[in-house]
Order: sequence, then structure tokens, then C-alpha cells
Amino acid sequence: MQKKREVMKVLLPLLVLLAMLMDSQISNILRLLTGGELFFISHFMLLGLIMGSLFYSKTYMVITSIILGLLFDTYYYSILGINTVSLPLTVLLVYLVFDYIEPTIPTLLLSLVIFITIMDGSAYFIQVIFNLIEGNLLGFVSTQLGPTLLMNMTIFILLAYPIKKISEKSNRG
Amino acid sequence: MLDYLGTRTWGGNVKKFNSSKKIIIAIVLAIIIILLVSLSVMQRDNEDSSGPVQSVISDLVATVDQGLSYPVRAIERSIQSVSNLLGTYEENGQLKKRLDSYASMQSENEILQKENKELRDQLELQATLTTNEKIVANVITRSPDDWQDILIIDRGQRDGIEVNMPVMGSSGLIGRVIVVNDTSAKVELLTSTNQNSNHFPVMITPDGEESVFGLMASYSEEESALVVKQLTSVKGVKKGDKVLTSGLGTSSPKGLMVGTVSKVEPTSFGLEQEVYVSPASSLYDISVVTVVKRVVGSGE
Repeated sequence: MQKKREVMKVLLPLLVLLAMLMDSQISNILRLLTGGELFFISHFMLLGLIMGSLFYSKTYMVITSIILGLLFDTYYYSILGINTVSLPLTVLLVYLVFDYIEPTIPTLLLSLVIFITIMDGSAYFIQVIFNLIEGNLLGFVSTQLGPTLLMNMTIFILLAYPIKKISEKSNRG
Repeated sequence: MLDYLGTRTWGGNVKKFNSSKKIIIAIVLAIIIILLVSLSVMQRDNEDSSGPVQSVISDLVATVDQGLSYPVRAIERSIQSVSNLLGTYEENGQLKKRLDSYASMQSENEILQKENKELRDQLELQATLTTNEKIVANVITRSPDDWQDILIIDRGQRDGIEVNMPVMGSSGLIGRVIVVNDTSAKVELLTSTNQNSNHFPVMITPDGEESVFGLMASYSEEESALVVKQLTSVKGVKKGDKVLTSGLGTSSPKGLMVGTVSKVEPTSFGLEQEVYVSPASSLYDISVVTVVKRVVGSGE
């Protein structure tokens, strides 16, 4: 059991990296289907980070998320500092929330809404503050954040059983 | 009692020290973030290729992503093939009508090409603004959000791609290369709201009038059209006119299809006119792109 956890500790960043790449591939297919009107962005990467933070130490997960954020920014934008900030921020919030709340399926589902909002919102605001994009808060909420939240809650409910099994094994239950 | 008091004052000091330490850490972090963002933006907008570390990381991730994109492309293709099948009958009818004129057009084209070459030889003109080289590339992925509009393609410096080259989709201009790595490159789409984005010089040729020149300024989300400003005039420009690149800048060749005019409107100040252009190529459904290299004066 302990050994399995140690192996997963090494594998987790790689799995989350693959989840990051899959996220954008999935989002792009969905973008095609909606004709660029709505943006359904899957957040398997965030799900992986949340599950990881139920098992491993704060320092380890924050460093992992900073490295993942740097990779994300280098690969997709060539501008460092967007997800490099928003990912560790979200992970810290995950620790803060689950210090007080027991991670069960309903609490995880509700907190996922907050985490996605914080993650996407902070990435958006960083880009607006640095004048990298033209801000359109209403457009962001209606065409991106709303559909994204809906979709990820659906994914979470579909995956509720395996997530429950995993979270029951964590130290925090 | 004294001991107790002493402990209390000491405890208070620790608390004070902690809060000021936190503020200092927060300020240092903020400064680091600001520096990181500004420096990387500066480097990205620099004309040269990206830094070696960034380049290697991007290439590595791109290779992994390329493996992931194969099954995704297969799914995408199967979705498209269903919609293609539904439209086939109608399309076939339209194509048959066109096919009649195709043979005569092709022979005419060949004669013109030959004539053009002979005339060029006479003028000792080796390359004109329309001469270009094309590099075909697959799209690996696209940035997952809706703001930056960046494509990642599977060709790079090794295949001769350079920063600022125009990129064509299936039927028209879709963007330009912004970052070149060794075996991959990033393409910024015309829909990007990035304020440093390239402004392509374009021209509109109305029937029986002189060509009108202008500069592509931005993308209007509401009209889903590109906005062309700083026009030399709008005389005779009407809906449906073709918009091509003019080749007057330094990076794009002449004659790349951009789109068709959708409307002409005065600007918000009312002094100038601006032209809305609906792009010829879809800016969402992109799986293969063509990077175009201008042959004449591309080094300037």
C-alpha cells in the first residue's frame, strides 16, 4: 500500500501532464462541434491535482503544479506566468478547503465549481492585467466559464464512483 | 507572573514578525511574476527564435502531444465524414456544373502561365511579389482557451519556417507564425485579440475601379469579420468583393486570399471608412495549414 503510494507520487506529474494535453485535444473537438460559439474546456488536469492533494504533502503538490504551469505556458503561449500562477494558487486553495471540509463526493463536486472558477478566472485576469488580451468579462463568463463548469460537473458525476474509491483511501477521510 | 508576561511579549513579537515576513514574501512573489510575464512577452515578440530551454521543452511536449493527437484526429475525421456524406449529393450537382468550364479554363491557364514566363524572361524579372514557397504542416493542437488563439504545428526551423510568415487554412489566410522552435512552431490566428498581432497589408479590387489598399486592424467578434482600416479610398467597394494580401509589407507575398467584403461602414469617429471582411477559411475547423514564404525581399 505504502509502496504503491510512492510509485504514484512519481507517476502523478506525468499523468497530470498527459491529462493537460488531453484536455486541450478534447476541448478542440468540442469547439469544432459548437462552431466556436461556446467553449467547453475539460479539466482533467485539475481533477488529477485535486486527487493528488488528498494524498501528498502541500510542498510536493505546489512544486508539481508550478512546474506543470511552466510547461503549460511554454507549450501553449510562450508567455510564462499565466498558469504558473493560477495552478499553484488553485492547489493552495484545495489544501485550505480540505483542511476544514471532509472530502466526500458532494463536497468535492461543490468545491470543484470554486476551484475551476478560481483557476480559469485568475488565468483570465492575469492576461487582462498584462494587456495580453482584450478583456470581455461578460463574454468570458457566458461563453467559457459557464459551459466549462457544466461540462466538468457532468464529468465529475460520471466519474463519481472511481473518485469515491480513491478518496476513501486518502489520509483525510 | 513575570515569566508569563515575558512569554506573552515574546509571542506578540513573533506574530508581528510573521505578518511582515508574509507581506515581504508576497511582494517578492509579485515582482517575480511581473518580471517573468514581461520578459517572456518581450522575448516572444522579439523577431528571433525563442530561447533554447523554451524551444526544447516545446518540442518535447509537442512530440508527446502529436502521439495523442492521432486518435483525436481519427475521431474528428469520422465526425466530418458523416457531415460530408450528408452534403455529397448537393455538392456533386454544383461541381458538375463547374466541371464543364474547368477544361477550357485549365488550357487557358496554361497558356497564360507560359506567356507570363516568357514576358518575365524578357524583362529579366526572376521573382515578383506573388512568387512564394509553400510548406504544408499538420496542426497538433490549439491552446485550450478562447483568448490567445494559438495553433501548434508540426513543422519548425528545420523545415524553413520563420517568424512572421503568413499561414493559410483550407481556402484563405488564417494567421501568422509567432514562435519558431526546432521542430514545431506556434501560429497566432487572425481572431486573436493580442494587441501586438500582425497587421497584414491587404487590397480590394472592385470591378472596373482601381485597387484599394488598407491594413487589417482587428477581428470583430460580433460581426465575426476582420476589420480593415486606413483604406486609401472606398470608392466602388461593395459587398462580395474579394480581399487579397497586397504584399506591400515585408513578410507577406501578394495575392493570398483573405476573404470577401461583408460591409462598409464609417468608423466610430466618422472621419474614415472601414471595411468588414468575412474570412474565406474557417478559423475553427483547422487540421492542416500551409505556411507561405515570400521569395522577394523576405529578409528585409
